[in-house]
Amino acid sequence: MTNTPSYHSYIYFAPNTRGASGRAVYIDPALLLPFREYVDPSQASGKLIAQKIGDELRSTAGDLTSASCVGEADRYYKDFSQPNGHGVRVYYRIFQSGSEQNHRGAGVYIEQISPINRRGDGDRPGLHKVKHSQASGGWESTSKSDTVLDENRFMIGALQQQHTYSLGKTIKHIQSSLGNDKSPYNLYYCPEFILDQAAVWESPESRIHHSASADELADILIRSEDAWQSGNHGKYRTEAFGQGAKTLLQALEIVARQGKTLPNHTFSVRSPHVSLAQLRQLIERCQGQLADQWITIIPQTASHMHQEMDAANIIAIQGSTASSQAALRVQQRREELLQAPNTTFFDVFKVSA
Amino acid sequence: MTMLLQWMNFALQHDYGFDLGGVRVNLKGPAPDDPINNFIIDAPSFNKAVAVSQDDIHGPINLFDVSWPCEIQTPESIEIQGSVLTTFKLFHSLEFGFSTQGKIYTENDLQLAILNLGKLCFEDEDTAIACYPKSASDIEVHSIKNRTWHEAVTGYLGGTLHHDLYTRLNEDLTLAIYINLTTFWGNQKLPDPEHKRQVFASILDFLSHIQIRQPGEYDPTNPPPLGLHSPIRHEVAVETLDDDDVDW
Repeated sequence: MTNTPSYHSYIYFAPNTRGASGRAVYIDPALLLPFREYVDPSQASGKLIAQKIGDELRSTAGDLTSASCVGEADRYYKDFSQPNGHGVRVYYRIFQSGSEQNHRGAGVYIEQISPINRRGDGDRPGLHKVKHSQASGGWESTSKSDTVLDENRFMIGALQQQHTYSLGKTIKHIQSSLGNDKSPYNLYYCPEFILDQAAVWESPESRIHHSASADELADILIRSEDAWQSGNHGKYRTEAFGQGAKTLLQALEIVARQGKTLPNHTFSVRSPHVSLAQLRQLIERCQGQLADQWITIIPQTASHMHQEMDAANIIAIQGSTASSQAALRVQQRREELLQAPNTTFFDVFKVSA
Repeated sequence: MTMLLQWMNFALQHDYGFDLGGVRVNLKGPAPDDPINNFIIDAPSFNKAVAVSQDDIHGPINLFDVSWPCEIQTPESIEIQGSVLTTFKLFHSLEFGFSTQGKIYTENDLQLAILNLGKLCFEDEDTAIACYPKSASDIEVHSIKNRTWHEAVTGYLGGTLHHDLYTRLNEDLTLAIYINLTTFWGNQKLPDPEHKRQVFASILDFLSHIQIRQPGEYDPTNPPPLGLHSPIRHEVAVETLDDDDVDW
């Protein structure tokens, strides 16, 4: 990008980064959701990461021994991780006072936060077939060599074990939601660090691996509607969970853009890390069906915050109830905070989380 | 370069106690991944399970899952390397798909049973990706505290892949631990032997904390404890925040 964006809307990161000791650290208030999702201060390791971001950027930012240049002057990133494997990469910019006035003053400006994953090759992403093995008493998965759905149940997502994506953990989680249903199903296993466009790879080799993507998922969904290609399985029960809903949302955008429809898919979502109002709009645009109980969301999760950030969702999920009124008040309070001159990201986050 | 892989001290973890057809199994480990329903599996419950299908196998009983992380120390910090994810299973000898009388009397019988199970599950699968032991030389034997554990790798490259450990409880029952280690090296290839050896050191340590006692091997008036018991926690000083710190 050659045009210089404005940094006037940025807010102080935390009460101790207003510049009283060390540099001032600012952050884009739009990073509330990535912060909730990737830093996640509800976990002990996330709380420490949040503290370290403020402490280290106010004291060491711009010290090139501890930060890496992104290829543009004044643009850097720094990794913050904990021994348990939890980690984020924080992208920021440094402005000196007296330079062009597109910012609030000298300091560090956090522009982006993305998840990092430093370990191993991981389990193979993409389309899997999962079936129960009576003999071993467990669920076994094989990576499919094509992109054709051959079961009626289609699950989309990926879960972590100790901050590493794990196919085994993902299947175990699905199993717990299926109860006694031992029917085989297809899984689109899509760990998010591979999908995230902002994520930077640890090594160029890791790019080579077959990678899960919204394009591939869109292709799978479109093909599944072709009776001849899909073996005429008819109706699909398609369920996305957690971050998988993000991949689904992106895939549905592609399907809609291509003018294709998905009338044979009945969709449901569990703890989606996307706005439900957006997702529903896209499902309807693609002529997909909504399952009777199509939403399951657990309060106090990243998914809940995704919904709460969007007024349309609050009404969509809860109707006009006392709790939706409360959620709207939170939203209003957040707007007010953002208008105040010395508001910190910390305050806004505390109101929202 | 030798890696210094580290893991928890199992001796300080939870106590697990099971009665599996009269055999007492006690072990030490972190809290289970999910609540455990059954600590006592008796003969009638097994007969019921096996009777579900006469000509087909019923499959093993899944007892519980437990997992723990392994860390590695670098000059800068200690980082988690991966997680050992285990599932404990109890097999009845009939469930290995035997055409014989369905008893496993010796270690050799157990090896044949493991080979038979592998054939049963994977023989018809795509040979390019299916992994299972095809001969006794594919089964690694570990001897830990006078107990023999047989290890076989089963599953699919690019899919679910696990290291399975089996030990004989008596002629009817075999305890198995299926271990998923793909957070260490992914599922697209088998680990190189040295990497596997390092990670398995943690598993062998875990196995060394498993005590298996036959009915005659413990005092019936003072039997080994059953159920799940939390370790005694010592108070640890909580790190306090400085005045300037932010409590996220």
